[in-house]
Amino acid sequence: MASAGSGDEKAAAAAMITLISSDNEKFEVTEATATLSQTIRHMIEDGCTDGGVPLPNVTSKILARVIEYCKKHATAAAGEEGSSSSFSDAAFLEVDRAFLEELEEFDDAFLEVDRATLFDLILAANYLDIKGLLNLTCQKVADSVKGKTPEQIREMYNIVNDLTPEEEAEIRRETQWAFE
Amino acid sequence: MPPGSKVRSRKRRATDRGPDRLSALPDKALQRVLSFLPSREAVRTCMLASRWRHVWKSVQALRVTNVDNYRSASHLNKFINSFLLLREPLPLLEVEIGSHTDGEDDDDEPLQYMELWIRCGLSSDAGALRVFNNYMGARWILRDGLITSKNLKVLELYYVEVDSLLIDFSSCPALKDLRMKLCYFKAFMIMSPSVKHLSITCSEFEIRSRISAPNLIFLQLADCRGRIPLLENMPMLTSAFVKLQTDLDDCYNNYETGDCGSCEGCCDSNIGSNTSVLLEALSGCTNLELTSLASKFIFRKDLTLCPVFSKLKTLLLSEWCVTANHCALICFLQHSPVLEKLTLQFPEILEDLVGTGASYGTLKEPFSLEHLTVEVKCQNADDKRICKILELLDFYGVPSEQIKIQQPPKIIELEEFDEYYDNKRPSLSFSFEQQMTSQNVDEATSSDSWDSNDEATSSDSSDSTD
Repeated sequence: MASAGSGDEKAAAAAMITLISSDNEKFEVTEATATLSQTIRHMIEDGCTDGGVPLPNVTSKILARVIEYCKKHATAAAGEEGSSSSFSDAAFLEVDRAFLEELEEFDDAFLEVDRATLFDLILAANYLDIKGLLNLTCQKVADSVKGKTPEQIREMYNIVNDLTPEEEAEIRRETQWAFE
Repeated sequence: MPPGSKVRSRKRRATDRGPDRLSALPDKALQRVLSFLPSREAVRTCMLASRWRHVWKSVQALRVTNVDNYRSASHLNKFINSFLLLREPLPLLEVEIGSHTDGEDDDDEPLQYMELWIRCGLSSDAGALRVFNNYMGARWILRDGLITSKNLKVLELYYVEVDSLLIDFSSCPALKDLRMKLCYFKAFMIMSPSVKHLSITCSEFEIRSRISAPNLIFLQLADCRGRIPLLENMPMLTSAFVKLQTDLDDCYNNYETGDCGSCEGCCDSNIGSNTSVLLEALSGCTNLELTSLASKFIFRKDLTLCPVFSKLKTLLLSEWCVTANHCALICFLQHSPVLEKLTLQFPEILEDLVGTGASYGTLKEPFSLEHLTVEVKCQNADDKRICKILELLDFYGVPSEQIKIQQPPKIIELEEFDEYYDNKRPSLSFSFEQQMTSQNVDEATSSDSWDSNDEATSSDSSDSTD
């Protein structure tokens, strides 16, 4: 693809990674974008990305969205390596403010998806180990259940209560301190 | 009806309405979802179904801030203690704890476990610690050396008395974001070699503390009482918002630079004539907002030693810059060679100053402000002092089409104590730009106030599947 390009482009092309979705669609992304995923980062470190990275758990539709997210956030994440232990990093201060606003708008728009897609994104973020995307999508689900009663949450997400009355009584005894 | 058939009928209904994708999430993702909830809600999900029974135990966050949901201090204490005891021994990445508001005088129940909880959080590798003392009976006293952590990046303290003469966050080498509100300091020095974002609001300084934060990028210092702290060199600083609201550093005789020589404010201020309290440290900023609610002399006194603001692009000043001969303002503009936007914000009534013809180090060379855009926010544009300023801007070459006059201005009062939970962002006291910044910061640290933020996005996410 970039073979006719200049030296610079060749250097960039050398750092391209091919991701292959479950339905066999290929996506070329830069290494900087791909390594937002800790899973892919480890594969690159282990040198097993030649010939593409198959992602059998991620459809092309979802992978395209995930890549969109990673591209946007790759710049912001630069210099934040190795901070995956906490999800409250303060790297925001190093990048410029206008860009942060843009990023925030991007995230808001990015979350405007139906619920099935939201859960697919969570699964992909979890599998690919993309901290920011996992937080963003899980936060959205958390917001949706915040302040709801168990019955409302069951109703909202079609959760079947399979607890017997005995089990319910037992759990209530164990966690009485949270229901007072 | 036997329990079995009840389950079956529920199952049928559920499949009609689609699969239960939430319960089907892998443990790690489900734990992450619960980590964004107030901890009590997270624990209560154990009643949803058997899949949920133990999930809360692996949630890596403790969040108890909406304390009014707990009947009493002892209920709240029991909740946090039980949570910490019964959960799996995994790291707690975020800890947000608040004490209960209830309690008799001299009753230490609301505060008795705070230290223990903080120790517990820090020893569990917390990256963010937020401590809110909501018990109005007493400030909670933070002991010297308690906050020591290799991992701590974000620290927020609310209504805390810091009981140290030297507040040294060197023991938290990863600390990046430090926010203190309604705190009481008696330290001669507050230092953090690593902190990049510092916010001190509505607090009180018993003596003039020095603030040493050589890596600071963003500073907010607003609505504090006592002595205005002295800022040490901050070469990385790009934005600073300083709003003076002090009772001690004020000249009761309204002298221009605090040199009346007779009032308590001037005589006890102990600022040497060659010492810059604030401006020297702020001189590398790109954005500055310097306001004061009354005529305070600290900015003007600093201007007598005016540094060059070599990167300053946007500047907001309030009435403190209005002096009889306008030299303070002229001096500031002369020393801001790349300034693009100036905002002047004036209250309804401008106080009269005793002009002392202070020497502001204004330059003799002619200079021009033809590239400057100016916004004047004032109640009464016909006030003769404001007319005078407009004449002055005209004299220095600011084209009239680049001057905008807005009235009336928003004069913002010192925040009420209990407004805090209604509007957690401390930016009420500031203008536009800063509000944006603190919002961004909140987003970026994923530090929204879970409990107090009631905006449920539930409606759109629940509609979307049907």
